Amino acid sequence: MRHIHLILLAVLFIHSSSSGQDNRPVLISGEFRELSIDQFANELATKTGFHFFYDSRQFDSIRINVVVKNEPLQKVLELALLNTGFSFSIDQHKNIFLVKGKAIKTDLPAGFFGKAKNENDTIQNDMAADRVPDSTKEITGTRLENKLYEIGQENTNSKSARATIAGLVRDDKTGEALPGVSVYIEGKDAAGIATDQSGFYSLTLPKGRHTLHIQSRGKEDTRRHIMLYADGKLNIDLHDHIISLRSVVISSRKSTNISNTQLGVESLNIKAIKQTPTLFGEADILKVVLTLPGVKSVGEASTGFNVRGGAVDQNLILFNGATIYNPSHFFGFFSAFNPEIVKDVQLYKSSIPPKYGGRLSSVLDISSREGNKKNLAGSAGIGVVTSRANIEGPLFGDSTSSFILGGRATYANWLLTLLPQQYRNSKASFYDITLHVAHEFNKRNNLYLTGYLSNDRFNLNSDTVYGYGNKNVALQWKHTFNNKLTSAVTIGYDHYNYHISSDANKINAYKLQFNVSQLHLKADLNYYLNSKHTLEFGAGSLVYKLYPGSYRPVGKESLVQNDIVPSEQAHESAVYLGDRYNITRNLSINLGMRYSFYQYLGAKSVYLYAPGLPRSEDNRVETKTYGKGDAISTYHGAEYRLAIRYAFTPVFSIKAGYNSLRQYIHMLSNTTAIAPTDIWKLSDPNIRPQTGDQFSFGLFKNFKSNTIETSLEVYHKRLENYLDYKSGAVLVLNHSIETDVINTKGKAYGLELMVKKVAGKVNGWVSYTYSRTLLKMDDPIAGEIINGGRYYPSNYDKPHDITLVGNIKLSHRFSISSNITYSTGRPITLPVAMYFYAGGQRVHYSERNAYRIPDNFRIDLSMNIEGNHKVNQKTHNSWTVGAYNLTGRKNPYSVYFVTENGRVNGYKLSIFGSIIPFVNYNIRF
Amino acid sequence: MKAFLKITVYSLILVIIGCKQDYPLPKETRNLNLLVVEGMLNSGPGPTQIRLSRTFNPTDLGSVVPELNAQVVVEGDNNTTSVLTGNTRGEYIHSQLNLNSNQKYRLKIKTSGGKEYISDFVPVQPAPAIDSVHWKRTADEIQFLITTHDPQNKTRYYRWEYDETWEIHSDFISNYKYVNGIVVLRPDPFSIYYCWKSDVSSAIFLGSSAKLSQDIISAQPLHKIPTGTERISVRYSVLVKQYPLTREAHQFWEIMKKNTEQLGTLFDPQPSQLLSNIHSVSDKDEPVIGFVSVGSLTQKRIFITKSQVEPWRYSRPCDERIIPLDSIRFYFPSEAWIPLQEWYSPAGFLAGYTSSTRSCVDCTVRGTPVKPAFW
Repeated sequence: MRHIHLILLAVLFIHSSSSGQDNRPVLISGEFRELSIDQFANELATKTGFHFFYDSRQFDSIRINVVVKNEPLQKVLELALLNTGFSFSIDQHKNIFLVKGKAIKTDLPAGFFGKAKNENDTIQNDMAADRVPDSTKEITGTRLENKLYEIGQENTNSKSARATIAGLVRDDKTGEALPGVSVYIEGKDAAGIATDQSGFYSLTLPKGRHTLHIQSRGKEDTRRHIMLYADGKLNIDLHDHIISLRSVVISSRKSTNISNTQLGVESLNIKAIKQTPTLFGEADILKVVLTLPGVKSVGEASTGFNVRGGAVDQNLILFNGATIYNPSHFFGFFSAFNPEIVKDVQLYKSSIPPKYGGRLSSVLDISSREGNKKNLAGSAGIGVVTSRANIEGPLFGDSTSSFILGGRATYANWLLTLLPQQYRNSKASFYDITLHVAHEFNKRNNLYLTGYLSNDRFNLNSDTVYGYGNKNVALQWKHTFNNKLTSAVTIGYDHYNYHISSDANKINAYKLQFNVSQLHLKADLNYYLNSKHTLEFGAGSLVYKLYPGSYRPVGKESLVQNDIVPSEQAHESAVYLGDRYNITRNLSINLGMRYSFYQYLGAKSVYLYAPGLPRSEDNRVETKTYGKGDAISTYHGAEYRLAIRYAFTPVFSIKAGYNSLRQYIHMLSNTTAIAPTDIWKLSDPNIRPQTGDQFSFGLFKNFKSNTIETSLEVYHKRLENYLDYKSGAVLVLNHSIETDVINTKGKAYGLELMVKKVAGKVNGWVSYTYSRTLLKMDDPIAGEIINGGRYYPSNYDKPHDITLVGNIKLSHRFSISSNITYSTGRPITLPVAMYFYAGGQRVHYSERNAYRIPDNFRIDLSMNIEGNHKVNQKTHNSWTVGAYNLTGRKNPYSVYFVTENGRVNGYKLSIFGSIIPFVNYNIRF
Repeated sequence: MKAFLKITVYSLILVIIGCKQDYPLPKETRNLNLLVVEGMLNSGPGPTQIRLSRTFNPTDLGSVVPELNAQVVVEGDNNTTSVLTGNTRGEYIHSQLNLNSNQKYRLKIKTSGGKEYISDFVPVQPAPAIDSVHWKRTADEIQFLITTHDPQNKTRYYRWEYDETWEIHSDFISNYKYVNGIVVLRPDPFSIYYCWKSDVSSAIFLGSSAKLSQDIISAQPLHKIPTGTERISVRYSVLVKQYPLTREAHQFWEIMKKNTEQLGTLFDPQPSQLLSNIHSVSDKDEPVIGFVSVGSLTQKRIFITKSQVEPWRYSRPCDERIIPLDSIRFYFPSEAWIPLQEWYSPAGFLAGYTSSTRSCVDCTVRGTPVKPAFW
């Protein structure tokens, strides 16, 4: 620790008459022009006999200009230090202390003398003031913590007893805004808030002295003493939490799980994601999301995930506000997000904030990092499956803007040789590119641009080429109106397409294409009304354009006829209002409502069917043609987002919630796993929007100074108008898809138990989930009833699931991470009879999903071995050695029965039926 | 400006990954005993055969469970009827139905148990001629392909079956045989040297030109023969039969194919209910498996000889061995070994017989010595 220099400037013994005269103020006259603090103090000391104490470095840029005539010392100092941000105090021993900021009380301990010239934190007493240059000098956090910040002008003539403090919480190294950071005060005025997506917080407090506590995962806890006079701003920079070699810091109050009103919200930061062992050691966001309670998938290598019994298409996957229609590469083996760019992931399983809508089951909100605002930096990596590079840095040479650009590409053809036999001799490639630009115009206006491009292409053992890709661009403008009102306006364009083409047979050569795009505009506002109410409100609109399919000839010889299913278009708009209301310290509620309005638009011809009869070509009564922009059908409805929390103690709370949602776009898929060739369909006169609601209840308790978090959540969910398919349904290039789909009801319920250790040598979580997902198809007019109209388990109904994700730090250089998971096998339809037909023995199926494939159990393990921890060295090395499926268990992906050479053979297919070890060597310099 | 570069180098040791293991068939205690109806009412020249059978439990070892003694009648929408005659294999046959191509026909079945089943009325569909059956040689296999077209653009949906026949030869010619303790000259050595084998298709082959501007099926894949197998060890012939289908029939066959053949991928479809066109009269919810089509069939035969596909690399594990005279009583009586030629000692005396195992000498073990009529 650097010690503080206190420079004694004036030690002159002032000769004076004996006692009694001391109380008479010394009057000073003189002209002090362009004096340094040393000169000034010297002169005054000479004139008055007082002793001056200060840190000369704090004052090295100050020049004193003051002219006085017969003024007392007190007044001279006031004038001299006016508008410099410095204060003084005088004790009874004729000592004068000069400090920056709030004047010290002369009876306070010496710790308050610590002052730094350049502060990391910036205070602005004037709300309209522009940016204060950032510090380049490092100072210790404890100094900031011990300093008292004055917020607002002391003499402000405001009658209000309360004032609002607001500001940004940022990373001190990169300048990046930090969302989700708790900023709170304790005691009788206890209040708190988490920073929003742009790192902004706003707290309305009684005027006076407070201590702000600031906590965030992965950052050092800190606090700020404030003296709140009037509305003002305080930006706070947080350090990375670096555990020093000798001590283990256990933080005491990370109890957001208790204090937050929401249920069913899971957050993962990229550090935790990278720590979890995955296939080939490729850090994979979606695969780590799958380890969370309540999240399942049909198989090890499948696209998408099922949240609390919802279908794969019922997840809204947002990347910086852009909707990603297909979040995976390579048949679902890898997720399409570059781990080097992603900062964190939020999954809302139950309490979905009213600003989100459009999907029934969950919102997966993925945020990218902001580029480094201070230095140009980059990294590159070569992996087994992908190579990647990213570069980041300030954009215009100053620290107001930054960019980060990352790309990944694969050379994964060899991987295909690992696939089941029929996929060998195939080729595959994929890439993705992500760009994020942030620009700070001033304290109140920030602009963010995100671009995302992903592309997959593969040849499956033949001359058929499949390809799919996402294209997204989103522009966001964040504006702070004042301490209480902030806004974010986002405009963007999302696109997803796939194509299949084959020219092996010249006569049949074709190209099939599908694409869906959406243009979206929305405004989200936050209003920090007072310490009890935080309002969020906004509106958004989405315009869909969907090309359900076109089938075109390729080459001159091709006889393929153009078959183009007419495009679909629709718009979906919504307004919402939410109130986070802290009724008392213990009781808080979130009230939210969203009203969505959807119109299916022309130009389009639609078929209408006789009511009460099965929808089929025979029962078609009318074909109605609509002009461009005409409303063909309109659906609208309210969605409710309610949650209530009661905290019995600071470490124990109960919560309950009710959520309802509506979804106007459906994915059509009749395969068990989501295939890259599945298409989307908009709600139309014949296909109603899906609706769903969920009741949930949870108990949350923390132990051992909040280092162990436990929770128990139960839920019951209902789904309406979920789509299932008739036998022999053809989904692609179907001009009247409504005749092939049937409406299904769903219900899901479950219990999720989780014990999470957030700090210490051993950290991680164990979760147990019991969940059921049942579907029911008993619509008599569908013409076909599944399982006699009774409830039957859905494809992803896996009742029991136990997952352990853990990290053990054996030493500072050596840690072990593991992912151990057990789950019930998924349901399948097994044959109930056999017969001979067309020369072969064949199987007959009846009850859907009446059986289950064998259970799944898998252990993934990785060991991280780090080089030495010296901060200043040329290269940092680390090794990661790991294995996926350590026990080599042949976990079933599917069980199937197939007629081969005239006989039925049963097989259990495992995709990763053996141990897959990997070694990574990382070098950073 | 401080720049840092992170280079990540991975290496990987890999053991085998994906795998497929046998899985036992599920036990099913109920016997669904559903009626299975297979066949086409032949509107062209030639017999019509409808086969009736029953489903059986998956764990029962499979052989056809025939449905015997049913009354099977073809009924036209002009009320004409023809009765099919059943045999002990559950086949109901009519030597020549005279169907009018402007009529629709249906099948009526009354089982010996008294239950009645009736099919939908189906139009008569004539099959266009097959243009060609051809094949493509690749390193590992021969792929058979079919090309056909309907000049009237009416057929659109097709199904194919095939009958295969192939000639096989024994590995050695035997001029001697062992009769009652002595080796005698074999009067007809070639009767166990040339044989033929045959098989029928057991998979479903479908084709459609619905998406094309003309009703042309171009080089649609049929079956494959892996290199080095017995089928083309000498000469091979395949007779491809072409059946026209209606759209509904095509859908039925396609579901059956998806349910029973196209499985084991990453993206398996859910099993779908078969859309049969034959139903129980008394219980509309009783599933019946089968789709009755009405129409004619056309067929085409091609031959392939081994010389067309060389190198074929077909071989069998057959060795010659000398059986000394004093050992013939040990080797020859069971016919496990068969004498080929006389073997003389260096001194010029008959010392024994060259011989080989029966399966290497007598092709009738594997096939029939009767030459097919078309050979």
